[in-house]
Amino acid sequence: MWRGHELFLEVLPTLITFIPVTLFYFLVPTVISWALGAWICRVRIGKKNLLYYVVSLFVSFFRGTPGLLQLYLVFFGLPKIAELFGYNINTWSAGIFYIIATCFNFSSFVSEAFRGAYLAMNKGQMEAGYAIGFSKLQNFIYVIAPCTLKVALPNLKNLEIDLLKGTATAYVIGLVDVMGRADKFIALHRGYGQLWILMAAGLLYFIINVAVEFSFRGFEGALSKAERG
Amino acid sequence: MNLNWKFMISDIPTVLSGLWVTLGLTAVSYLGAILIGILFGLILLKKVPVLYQIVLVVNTVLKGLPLILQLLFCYYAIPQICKTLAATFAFEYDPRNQNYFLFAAIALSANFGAYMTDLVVSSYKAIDKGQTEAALAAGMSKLQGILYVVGPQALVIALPGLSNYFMWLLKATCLASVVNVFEMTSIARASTAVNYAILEGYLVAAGVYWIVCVVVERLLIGTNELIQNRTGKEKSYA
Amino acid sequence: MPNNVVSLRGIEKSFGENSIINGVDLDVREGEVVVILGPSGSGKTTLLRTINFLDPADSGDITIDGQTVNAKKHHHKEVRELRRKTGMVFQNYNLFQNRTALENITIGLRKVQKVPKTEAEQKAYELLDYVKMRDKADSYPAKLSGGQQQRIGICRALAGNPKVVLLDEPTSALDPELVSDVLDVIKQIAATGITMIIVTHEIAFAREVADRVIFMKGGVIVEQGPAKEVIDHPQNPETNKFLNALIPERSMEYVI
Repeated sequence: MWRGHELFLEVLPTLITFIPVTLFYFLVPTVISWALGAWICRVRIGKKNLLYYVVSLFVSFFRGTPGLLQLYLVFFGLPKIAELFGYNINTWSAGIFYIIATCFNFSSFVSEAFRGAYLAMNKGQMEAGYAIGFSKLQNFIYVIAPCTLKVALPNLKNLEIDLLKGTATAYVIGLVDVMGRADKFIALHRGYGQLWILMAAGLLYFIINVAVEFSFRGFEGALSKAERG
Repeated sequence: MNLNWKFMISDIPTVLSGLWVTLGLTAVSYLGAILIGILFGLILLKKVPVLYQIVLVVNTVLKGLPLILQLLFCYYAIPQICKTLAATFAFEYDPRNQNYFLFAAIALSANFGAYMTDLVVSSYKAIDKGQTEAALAAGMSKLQGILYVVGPQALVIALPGLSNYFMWLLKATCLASVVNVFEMTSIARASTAVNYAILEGYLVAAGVYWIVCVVVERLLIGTNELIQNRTGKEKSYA
Repeated sequence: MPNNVVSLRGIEKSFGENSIINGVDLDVREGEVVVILGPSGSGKTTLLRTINFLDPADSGDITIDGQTVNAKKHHHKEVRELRRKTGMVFQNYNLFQNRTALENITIGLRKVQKVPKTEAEQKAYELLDYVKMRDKADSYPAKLSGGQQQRIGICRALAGNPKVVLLDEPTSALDPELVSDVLDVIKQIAATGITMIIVTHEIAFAREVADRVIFMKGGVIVEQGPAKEVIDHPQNPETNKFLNALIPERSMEYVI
């Protein structure tokens, strides 16, 4: 074990160079899922038509099955669906499958966070918006969205941190981010040192985690400062 | 679509057999998490010196690292620890007969235990101080106060969170398939070794997870409402 | 024939099984202050809210300043245009929590009526001076008392130069000691000649400020007329009963 420290320091620099990869697979699904999640939320608080039921089924599935399994399903299933339309997507990199699977999954949770916040909102402000003549779009931009966002933010923060930690499972389909590279190191060092490699990867995830947490605290602070004056 | 439907149907019993392991792992880890949550929660609430700081650090780490990392860590670390322990205390340890289920359960208990700690602390704090005072005034000991008055109330408050974590844990056991545990996902994958119908196998597993989750969620919501109605508390939803 | 700013014809509304408004016709002249009284469930608040389509009526026509919109068949653009001519003061103030007092007043002007920022702020400051709250211009609603919030709400309603201001029990949610301040503001505004329709329980206030008082019960107008007449000498026994219940002293006779 005394050589463990050396191993730790040896792999750390290489792993650090893969932080941008992890961040990429954290930020891209974030942006897409917030948009998709907002749309899903809108459908789910609207009329109970066919779209509502289809979307609700979608949300139920992606919240009711494990993320890893969804990843496998997209990884193996999407090519088969593409075959139906005559496309061969087997050459796509693992990253794309990961992003697709994660967006489906994450947007479901994000939509629930938005939905809970929306339902808890004081409808009076919405009425006031309409009363002064706002269109639906204006009411959304100036009244509904800011209010919903503020209430949903703590939940969104926790979800985002889960998303970050979730990027670590991507290596199972071959994605090489921090965890993926660590896994390669482990494969090279069969028999010993895995713990030190894992600790190195763990340290980096922890640091990124703290950064994300602080960013959200910043958002929360800025938003509630606005309300407290 | 060219899915092997026949295989999927025939695979259902096989995959279902894995459900027992999944449920078992969930139950064991859940109990472990509750125990850890109560233990750590007590330490935090009582502000026990030294242990307090240790618990805070440990929980921060447990919540701040990916679960899969923790599973892998236990997978590699626990055998080493056992080896060292065996050498020190001179008892039998067979490195070929590992109990991977146990390793995964330990990792899951620890991870979810950190979240349970928060739940225990926040539920306890949500109870009005007056309740403890009234219990003491009625002559109960502090322990009795907790057992008969504060504890049950804290439990009711914690119900939505407890239900939520159970569902999360149920889905998290899927990750154990990466560390050699033969839960449902592994078994589904293994069952396709003969015909490479990997997608079909995973689809069956997904179907089972989905149904189980929906059913369990309904059961939990129903139970929560029942308990909250009986105690007259305002309904709250996870 | 004086100008009718607001005309309601054949307004009916039900919520499920319950019919709340059972056929109401109403004309309000320019500069008139109309107060609607009635027991809870009489439909008075609902009637007010059908005017700016917050709770659209099931049937009937609403005309404001010459624009008629049918309750059943209308386009949302018509409704928006109608709303631009009205201002509403809510029982629970409903200020935009994430905006300052000043912004609450200017936002309608800037985003709906496309008034430039400086002009909008100038108008807002004028209104704030009028209600003596200029020093709170940059405060957020959470920092203001109920009475202060309601005064901002009144400014917001007046900002767009509405043809009619609708006030839905403006003081019902206020602590008693704050009520008179808000009522004073409303009296001030009434004196400037703005058309107002007010739903309230404050009888003394109604007697003082209203030109016409309407008593509603069971979804219909039971009695209406000049304020002092209806309140002091109601013709209809229902009106009398209601007023007595609200002001017990009224029914006592003093002989000195």
